Amino acid sequence: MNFGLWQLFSIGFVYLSALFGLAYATDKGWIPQKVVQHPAVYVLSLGVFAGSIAFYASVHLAYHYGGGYLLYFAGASAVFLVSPLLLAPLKRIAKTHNLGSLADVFAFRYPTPWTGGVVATLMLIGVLPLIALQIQAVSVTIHILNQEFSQDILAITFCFLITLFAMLFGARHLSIREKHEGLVMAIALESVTKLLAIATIALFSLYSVFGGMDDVSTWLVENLDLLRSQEVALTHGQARSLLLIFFAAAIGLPHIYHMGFTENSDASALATARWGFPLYLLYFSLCIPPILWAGLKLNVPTEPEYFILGIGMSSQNDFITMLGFVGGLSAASSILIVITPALASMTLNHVILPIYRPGTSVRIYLRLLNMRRALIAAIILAGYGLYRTLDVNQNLISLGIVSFVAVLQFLPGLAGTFLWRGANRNGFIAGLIAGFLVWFVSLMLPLLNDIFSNMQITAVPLLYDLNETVWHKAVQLSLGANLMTFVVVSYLTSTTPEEQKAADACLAAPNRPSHRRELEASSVHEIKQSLAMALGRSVSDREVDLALAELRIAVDEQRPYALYLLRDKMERNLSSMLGQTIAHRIIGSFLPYKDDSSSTFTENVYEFESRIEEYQTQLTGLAAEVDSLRRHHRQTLQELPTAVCSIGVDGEVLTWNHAMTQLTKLESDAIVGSPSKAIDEPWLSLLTEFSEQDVTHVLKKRVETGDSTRWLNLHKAAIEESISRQDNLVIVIEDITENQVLEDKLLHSERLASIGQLAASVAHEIGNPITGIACLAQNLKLETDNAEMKEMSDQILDQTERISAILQSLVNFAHSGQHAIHPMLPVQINQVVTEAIQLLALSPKYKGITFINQCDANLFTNGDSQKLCQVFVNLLNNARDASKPDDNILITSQVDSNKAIIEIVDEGHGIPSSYIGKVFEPFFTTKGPGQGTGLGLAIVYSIIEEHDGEIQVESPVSDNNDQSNSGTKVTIVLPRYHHRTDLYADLNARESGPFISIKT
Amino acid sequence: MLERLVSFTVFGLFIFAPVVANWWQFPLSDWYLQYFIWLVLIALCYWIQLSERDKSGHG
Repeated sequence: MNFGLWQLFSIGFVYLSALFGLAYATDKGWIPQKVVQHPAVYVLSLGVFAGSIAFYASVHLAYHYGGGYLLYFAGASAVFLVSPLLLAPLKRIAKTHNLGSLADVFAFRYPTPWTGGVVATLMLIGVLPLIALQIQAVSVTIHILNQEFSQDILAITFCFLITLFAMLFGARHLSIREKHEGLVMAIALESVTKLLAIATIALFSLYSVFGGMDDVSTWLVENLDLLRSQEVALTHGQARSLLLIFFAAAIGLPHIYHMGFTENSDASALATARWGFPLYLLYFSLCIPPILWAGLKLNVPTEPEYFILGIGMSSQNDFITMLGFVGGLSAASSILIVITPALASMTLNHVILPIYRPGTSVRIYLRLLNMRRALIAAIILAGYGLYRTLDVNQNLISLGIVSFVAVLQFLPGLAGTFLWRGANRNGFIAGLIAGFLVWFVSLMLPLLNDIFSNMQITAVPLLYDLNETVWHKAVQLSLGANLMTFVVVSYLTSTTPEEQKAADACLAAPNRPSHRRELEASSVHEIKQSLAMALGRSVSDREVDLALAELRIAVDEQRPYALYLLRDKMERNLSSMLGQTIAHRIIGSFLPYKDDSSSTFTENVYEFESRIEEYQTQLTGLAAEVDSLRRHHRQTLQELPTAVCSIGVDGEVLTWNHAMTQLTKLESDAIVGSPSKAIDEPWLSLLTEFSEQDVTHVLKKRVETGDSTRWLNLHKAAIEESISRQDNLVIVIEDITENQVLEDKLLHSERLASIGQLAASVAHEIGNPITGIACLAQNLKLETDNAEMKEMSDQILDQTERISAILQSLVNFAHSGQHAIHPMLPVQINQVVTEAIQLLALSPKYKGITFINQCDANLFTNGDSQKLCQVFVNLLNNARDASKPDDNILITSQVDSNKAIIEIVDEGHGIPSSYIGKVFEPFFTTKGPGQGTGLGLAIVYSIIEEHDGEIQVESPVSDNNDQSNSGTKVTIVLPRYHHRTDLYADLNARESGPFISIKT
Repeated sequence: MLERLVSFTVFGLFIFAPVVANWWQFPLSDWYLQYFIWLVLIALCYWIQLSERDKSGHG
């Protein structure tokens, strides 16, 4: 069978156009985010792992090694099944530090200027055979289908289309913070396509080539010898070596890292991929045996690795043949589309940029993107070049294994990253070079032999062909050399503090708080200026503004801690754009720390705490219990009702608990991390003075806080820092303002009580002679006929009565507050008010003032009716004194659930605002001499308090209709008494009505 | 507990890789066993995800 070239081209074009279309639609936002962000898309995008080796070469593996083909799928699945061991920490560190490639991870963990460059170069060399094999797979399949056309031309056409796609959709954004969602969707579609294709061919094999499962079993039994004649039993070492390299491939290949971590940073998606990806590979692997058996049964003329195509051709089934072609095309193209942008990014950041700086112009982003695109083309061209120079007869699995063993060399370094704190940069690089040297000699040289022999160069002797013995030995020797060198050199050489910090971050082991150092730049503006020298003004401004927004830090921020965070964030963000090596170099050069001599080291407690918070879910056993205890103490400190703050040795505020926030009205988010001089007054002076004093306690410190005065007790203690051995200061502030106010009130009450006792004794002592004077005056009046004498006697009697009245007031005041003198009974408010009005009506003064009693006749309170009557007499008397002739005094009542509210409103001259607060004080009066004692309202206040009530005075009255800015309203609130209607019906019946108006 | 079971099983896979690889050298009647073990591991991982989701939901 021979397919027409245009037929093949049309199918390939339609398929690739569908990919372009889906990617374009996704990037344009036409596909709902619910679909794009679905975990299934992430899992399917990881299906990029199943390239030409899975689609074509696994049949070849099954042909040679029987069940050994499963090692390919099992090794890759194992990486995800035990993802908490390697993938989860890798994802965490990649997300936290914006590490866009394995080179970034190693540059972060083993920081040297050349780590990233070495990794990127070796990765590029190691992965080239894998790229070449994808190109070979496509060109060979097309050649199988159409033998009339040069497969090299087909290969270059395929490379051109793939380059175009990778440039358009794999290098749209410079920073890994911006995801290529179109690329992810396209790869997910490719995974579905190849799975559907291989599953359909497998089903075709089972039910069309064979007659079903029973027929397969029968055929297998009959042809067991045929099967076994092809198979080679793998030795234990070979099997383990294969499993190991496939395991390493699934974690170390650039396209897996790119789809797994760079294009998706959601941790929950990895949990789904943990079972989803092995399930995908399980489906895939189940399709291989039927295809192999069908190929053998049909005696397909192609190599076993192309049985997928051969089955359709031998069965004369064009649809199955085309499915095989499209599936293979999708398998090869998906790898190339992802691996080339990933390698280009790695090469640009770690190989090109350290040598060549693209300047600081505004167009730096575009220039970097174009460089990445050029690298994509160069890498595909290099892969094509390798394919062209290779022996075409070199099978796919041999090429794949050469790449996989190269990737295996990164496994020790990766394991050391997350499992061994003692691993260092020297050991890593030495091990890597040792492993790669062995790999080069044992696996790469046979490939080079191919190249040299193709180029007619005979100077290089043909060492050996690639076969299973060579793979096995290459794996063992290279990995052994790598591991040994890595371990020995790491033990023999020292580890830098920077490496230890990176190791702690990778190991999720916050063993101790790190040092925090102060930056030379003291503001965001200075940071922008410094970075502008490296990145250019516009890029610097944009990146710093972006970091500020992500950290939610204000642009005027000056706190050393915040600037330290900003520096850290900038390094991470630049790392996502320029790679870890360049980012570290730029930040280190342009945002340096102050010299050690002038800068104070401080334990970075915030970073320490935030790290522990991040690791909370990972802590187990004793560590989890200790962390729980830490949380308890932390919570205790924060919720302590006493204000606590601590100040570091460099004058920075380290702790500011909730009570401190309440006391000072300064939010802890704004204060913690600030230098103490940034604290607002009066707290700055208070804390500074106290911290400089030699005393450890200051009691009853008076502080004016603007709107109020507070009294504070201050205590302090020194806490030694574990690293610097210098003392942090802990200050505890007790707010005793309420106690002080109570103390003042108590003193005032005691003073009043003394006055009351004095008044009572004075009244008693004066009362006796006054009584005598009154008696004598009475006698004098009776015993004389002299009119003048009688008048004088009357005047003496009037004056003695007045003195008696004053004395009685004094006695009443002295006795007020003494409870249970009279029994507390239900009192009808309306009646008491009426009695008070009637008493006042007896007074001959103030004619023409009308009392209007509108109190509810059903309103009762529980109390002493006589005392309450006195309350109303005093209040109404005051109201009458303040009123003008013909004024009205209105007494109304309201009910509020359990409260009885009585309001007395007059239209008089009112009370000056400055006097409002004093009217209930004893002996305070605005009346003229001889007109009042100043005890009336004080007595009222005492009686109302005695009845568990409240009294308020408002002047002028706000709801006064005449707007004359006069009048006084007294509001009394008393507990309401809920009576039984039947018992008090007679009492209510006595009332003529709810409203009484009496004119005096 | 489930985590350890999965880890030990995968480690066992490495130990017994030669047996898995050469399975077809032996009677074909048990061909499904390796796929079954694989499926059980997948189910265990799915179970772990569900239980962790419940835990975080309640936490």
